[in-house]
Amino acid sequence: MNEILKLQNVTYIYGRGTPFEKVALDNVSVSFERGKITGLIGHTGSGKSTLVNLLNGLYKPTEGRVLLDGADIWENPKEIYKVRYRVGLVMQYPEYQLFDETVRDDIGFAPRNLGLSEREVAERVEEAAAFVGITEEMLNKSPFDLSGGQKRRAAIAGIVAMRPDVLVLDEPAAGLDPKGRREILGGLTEYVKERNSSVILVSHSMEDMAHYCDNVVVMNNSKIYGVGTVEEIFSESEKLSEVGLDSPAVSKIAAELIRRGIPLEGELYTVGGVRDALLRYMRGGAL
Amino acid sequence: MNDSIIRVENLTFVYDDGEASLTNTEENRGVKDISLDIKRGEYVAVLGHNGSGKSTLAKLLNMILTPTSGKIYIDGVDITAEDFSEDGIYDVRRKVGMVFQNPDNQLVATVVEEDVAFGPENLGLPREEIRRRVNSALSKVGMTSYVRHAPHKLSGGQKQRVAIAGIIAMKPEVIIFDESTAMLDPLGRRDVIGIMEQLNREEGITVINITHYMDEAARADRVVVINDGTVVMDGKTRDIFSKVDTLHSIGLEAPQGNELLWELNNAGVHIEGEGLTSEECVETLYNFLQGKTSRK
Repeated sequence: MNEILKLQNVTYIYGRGTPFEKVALDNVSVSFERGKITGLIGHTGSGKSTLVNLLNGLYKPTEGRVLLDGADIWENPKEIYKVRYRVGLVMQYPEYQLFDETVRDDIGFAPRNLGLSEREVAERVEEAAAFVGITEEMLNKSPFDLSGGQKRRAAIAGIVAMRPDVLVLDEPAAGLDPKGRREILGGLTEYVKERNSSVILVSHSMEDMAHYCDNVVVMNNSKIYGVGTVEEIFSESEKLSEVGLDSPAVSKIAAELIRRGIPLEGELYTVGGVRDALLRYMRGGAL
Repeated sequence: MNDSIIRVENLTFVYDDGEASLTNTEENRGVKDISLDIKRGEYVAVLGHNGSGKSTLAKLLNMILTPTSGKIYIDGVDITAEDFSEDGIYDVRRKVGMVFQNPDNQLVATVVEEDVAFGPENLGLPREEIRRRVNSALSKVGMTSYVRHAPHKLSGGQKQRVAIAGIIAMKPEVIIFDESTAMLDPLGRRDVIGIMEQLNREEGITVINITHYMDEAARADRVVVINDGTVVMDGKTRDIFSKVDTLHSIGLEAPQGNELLWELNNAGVHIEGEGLTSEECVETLYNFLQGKTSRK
């Protein structure tokens, strides 16, 4: 079984027993696989952030279980910190959490806390830095002398350096330009391939989801609204718009052409995919 | 009446080290020799990658920063003149309102209506006038029913709408949105963009939207692209986004419709027509494919 992290009938209630009681997750079951990038989408208040906070034990389920490699992460609550080394969470705007004197020390903070030798720490730092595109020169700088995009990458490297089995990123590319987005998100694919980890990507950008994810989980109203491959999810743009979400512009273009009788097939959710489908159609028997 | 609301001539701003570390923002790079003329009532998008200098430009326009050299005219008044008065600064900030990226950094009061009233109160307006402005501003952003709510309990999109109401209550000529949708979810984004356009079309307010989202920029009438502190492209939105090669060369993208037509073109299929919006792209592709079939 390639499944690494699993939520089993998880319910989470905020402020239980108070007048502000609110069910944020309602009997949710979902699993995440090794070697896959899973996108998590849903508008504000859908339960997405609550789910993220349950994955590494920042929140404890009101009901149900969170299983990491088959074991309930809350079996021994005193050891929940160990789960946080295995499930790395990169929060929104992680660059605000940089604090150390040099980028090198900042990235090395978590591995050092893991009790690794200085040699191993150095190795981890180099590895994580290379993965997010932080150069040797930047490693010696103060994190506060980096540009916004570089800071973001340094902060992500700090989590990657723990070599987590599951890497959860909450809007890692928010506020970055297209090139910065590509650099950070492109690295994810490599990371997953090299380490056979599981990556969970929370994003509002459907274009990024379509481009980088294998699977997509759609949240709505404290429940799972849909789970499937990128293709399955984005081919039903009407279902998505019912819950206030959009599919990528290019998949809407493809859907409208199909509706008008142009039979397109293939990966109809990225620009390259639709291009290829159109080329196949034009070169095929149709014309 | 002066036709141009903002005119910038050979504007240069260099951060000295002290200022760069103080601002500590994503975009603490300067601008070099920028000239720009923005007409009253225009809807302009400003594009550029992180660090291109576009936020610096915005901060110069409402006098958060003072230029190293060059001229800025707001509503015909030279705000860079030697004898420009202290009072004039407040007038500029009233005329040129700014909405920033992080909604949590711009709300000052504990009740929505007080937050919106903050600006007008500082203008020293009579009570009734403040009340009128607050009500009207909140209704324009669709937040009337939240008038007595606590801002910190609102969603990101709602907070931005309150921040916008605070600007509207100052009766500005220009509103600069500096990546105001970057932290919002799709619904919040749609709301803010909708308000932007309504203010432009119905109230005649000049809107400058600084953004990374190409689909947002595609909605403006004019696009200015800034790279390395200088204006590298400036023109009608349609024309700018048809130059996909140039955009790519400076690390930007075009909307997906334009990108798709460009990709097909690179693959040897030459298609004439527009692709700025998804609808246009569908029409262009459909007509092209139909044409091919009928010719055969």
